Amino acid sequence: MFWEFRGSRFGWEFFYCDLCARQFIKINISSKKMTELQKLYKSEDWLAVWIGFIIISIAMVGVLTGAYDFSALKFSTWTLCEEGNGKEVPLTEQLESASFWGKFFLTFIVTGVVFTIGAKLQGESVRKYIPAFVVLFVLSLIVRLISAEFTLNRYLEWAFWALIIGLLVSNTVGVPEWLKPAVKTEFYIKTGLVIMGFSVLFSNIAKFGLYGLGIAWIVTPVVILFMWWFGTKVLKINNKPMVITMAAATSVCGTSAAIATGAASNCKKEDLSMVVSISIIFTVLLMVFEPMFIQWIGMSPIMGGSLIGGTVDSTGAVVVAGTALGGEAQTAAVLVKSIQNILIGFIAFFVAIFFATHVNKEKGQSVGASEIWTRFPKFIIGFFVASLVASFIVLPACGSDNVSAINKVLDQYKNWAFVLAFTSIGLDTNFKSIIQKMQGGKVLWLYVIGQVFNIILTFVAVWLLLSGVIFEIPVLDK
Amino acid sequence: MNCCYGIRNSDFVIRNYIIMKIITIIAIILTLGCAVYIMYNGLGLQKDLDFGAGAYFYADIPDYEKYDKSIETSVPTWVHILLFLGWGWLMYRLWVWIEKRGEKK
Repeated sequence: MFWEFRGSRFGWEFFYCDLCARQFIKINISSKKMTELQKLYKSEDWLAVWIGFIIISIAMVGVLTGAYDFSALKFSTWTLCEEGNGKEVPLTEQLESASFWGKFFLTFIVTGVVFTIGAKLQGESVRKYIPAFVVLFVLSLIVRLISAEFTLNRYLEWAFWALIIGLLVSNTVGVPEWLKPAVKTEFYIKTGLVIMGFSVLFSNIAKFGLYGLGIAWIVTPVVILFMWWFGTKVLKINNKPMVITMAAATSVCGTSAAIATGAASNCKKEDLSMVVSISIIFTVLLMVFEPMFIQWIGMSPIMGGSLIGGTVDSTGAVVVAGTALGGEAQTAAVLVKSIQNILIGFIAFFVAIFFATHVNKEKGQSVGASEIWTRFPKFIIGFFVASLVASFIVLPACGSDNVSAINKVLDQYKNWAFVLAFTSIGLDTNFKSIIQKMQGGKVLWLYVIGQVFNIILTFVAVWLLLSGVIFEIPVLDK
Repeated sequence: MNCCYGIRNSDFVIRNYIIMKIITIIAIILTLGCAVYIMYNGLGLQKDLDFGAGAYFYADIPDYEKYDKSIETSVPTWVHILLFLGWGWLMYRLWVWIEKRGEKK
């Protein structure tokens, strides 16, 4: 045999030629014709769908029958210093418990097995993938450990720590060749998104009645379109996937929306990491200053809470900022955020269609249905199927308690997939390229102007719907 | 005359570029400084809640369901779904229109 397969990256397969001794031959994967049937079990998108469905099915059977506990590892909050809130579990206590190690091995084996099979089916060498995955898993474990620390997890999401750890490794000691087979960012992201689909319940649309729909859904697409226009036409940013990813992160719900939209638009890893970092840093500011501003102008709790739900990015920050204004504001904030979280899948779907038909094409070229299907990221179908099954089959048949219990199990697997993805992004990025991606600050201004527009428009919607001037003010449980 | 105008115009562009860059750097420093100050002093946190902005989705928030209470509404869910899809479709058409208009220019 003359050619030895050396792994695949960025759509290219690398082969080593025995005869030439040193030369590597690249073959573009997309240029190799795969039949539709082969794509179902060999392409990254479809494999992510099947892996997601397998994990969802195992979790569902486990919860509904009670036959086994499929929960993945999650660190309880721990603290380095004395000033906790009394709810932390000391790290030594966690490490000494048998259930910790049971969950550790379960998580390692489940993720290791499914991703190794997935990598093998995509043409990766199992012999090379396994050791690389073990190291990536250990790095991800460190990320989750750090992000469970009392002070650190109060403000910064694990995605931030995953990027930092990955960047530290790649920009100091460097990423060795043998670790690269496990750096499969898109594969982990797509799998995590399919699992996440199960937690997106359509019934949440009606939870705040037409008020919630008006605040969360009328405003969000308008902000996205404004940021698209502002980014591409006014700031003249050529990187359209980055613009739409930033728009979704700003107007929907930060990291999750950025991940989904980034995957749908084929956003580059450096761009995604920059968008997520900007969103995370500004979330800290919004969580503190927005409730202060609302109190200062004397807005009612229901209006203030709704404004927070519609404009603060991460769900955790929304609950905290809403709570600062009282029980009613907290409820309003969470209800609006719940509706926004449903939007993730829809926005990713329309972004994928839009990019297939209007962005990734030659000028004047018309894109037919079969071409749209070829270009369409299939994992979004998996996301929707999971969401539809949870909303219209499992929820009516098994009740909301069971769906919540299933989602508690699934959410941790989704988190592990995303931590593996963000650590991979960090490993694949250097600081210099992130600075270059800032495009002289245009990206920052896109976020700032977009967020200001988002706040103003949400305020207008909140005032129209909840001030009592036009419509009756709803009564919320406190 | 044209030549002088060109020089003045390019000076103006360079000056604007430098001013914009300085403003951006100041904004980055202020934002990061503010975030670090908030985190160092533990501002904005709620003592009763065992999480903060670091909890990014339902999974990281203990007992998330208790925060998620619905209100009584006489409008059926299918009306919400219909409005949801209708507005989404309208906005998509608008997006396509914006893009096509840009292409023509």
